[in-house]
Amino acid sequence: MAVPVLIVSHGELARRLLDSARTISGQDRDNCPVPISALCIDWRADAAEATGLIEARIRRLEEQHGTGVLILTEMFGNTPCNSALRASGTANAAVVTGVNLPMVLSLCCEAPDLDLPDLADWIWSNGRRSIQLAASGAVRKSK
Amino acid sequence: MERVVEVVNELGLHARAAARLVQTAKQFRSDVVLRVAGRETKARSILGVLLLGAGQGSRLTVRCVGEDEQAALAAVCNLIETRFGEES
Repeated sequence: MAVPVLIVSHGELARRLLDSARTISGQDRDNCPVPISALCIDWRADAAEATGLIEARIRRLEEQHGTGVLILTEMFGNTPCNSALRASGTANAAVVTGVNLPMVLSLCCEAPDLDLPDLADWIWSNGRRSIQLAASGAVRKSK
Repeated sequence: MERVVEVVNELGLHARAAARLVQTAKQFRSDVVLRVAGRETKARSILGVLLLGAGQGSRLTVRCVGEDEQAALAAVCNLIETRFGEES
């Protein structure tokens, strides 16, 4: 059974990332083989409120799937990430930071049949691999 | 079995085309591997396909190995040759 994925961010980023990945992959909520959802946390929410929202979402996903939850957060150290880490302390949840479009797209397109620890490793590896110095922009002056 | 096909659509293996290629390859049991200019990837990997950086005019080697390799090769090559359903 597929491990559900929860993208957590401040503002609209989580939902926009998921929308983009679904548009590119052609997978919508109903035909995407991986259950992916977004949790957008209000900029004014404090850490306790954010943690409560994430815990509630984890509980619901665990009730539905019972396979643990993979949480992707936008940035290590911000409130959504710190709250996700706090929430993961009492649940079967893995947290990977620095979520980007290729990571979400790879989940939509490939839907790997992995358990939670292996899925977390897989998506972390994809995230690192997806970042390329595609053009350095440096025009070196000859001496 | 393998075949060389030319990427003919204007945008090359861009994101949506790559996603369609991955989804086509996933319909088959065979392993599908793509190779271009010394770079190689499994066709089931969207990042791998994107990182091939195959633009228009690239000559892509499609290799399929498995019980349905003939059908897989035909489907993947057909998708590329028909411009991924794109107009140009």
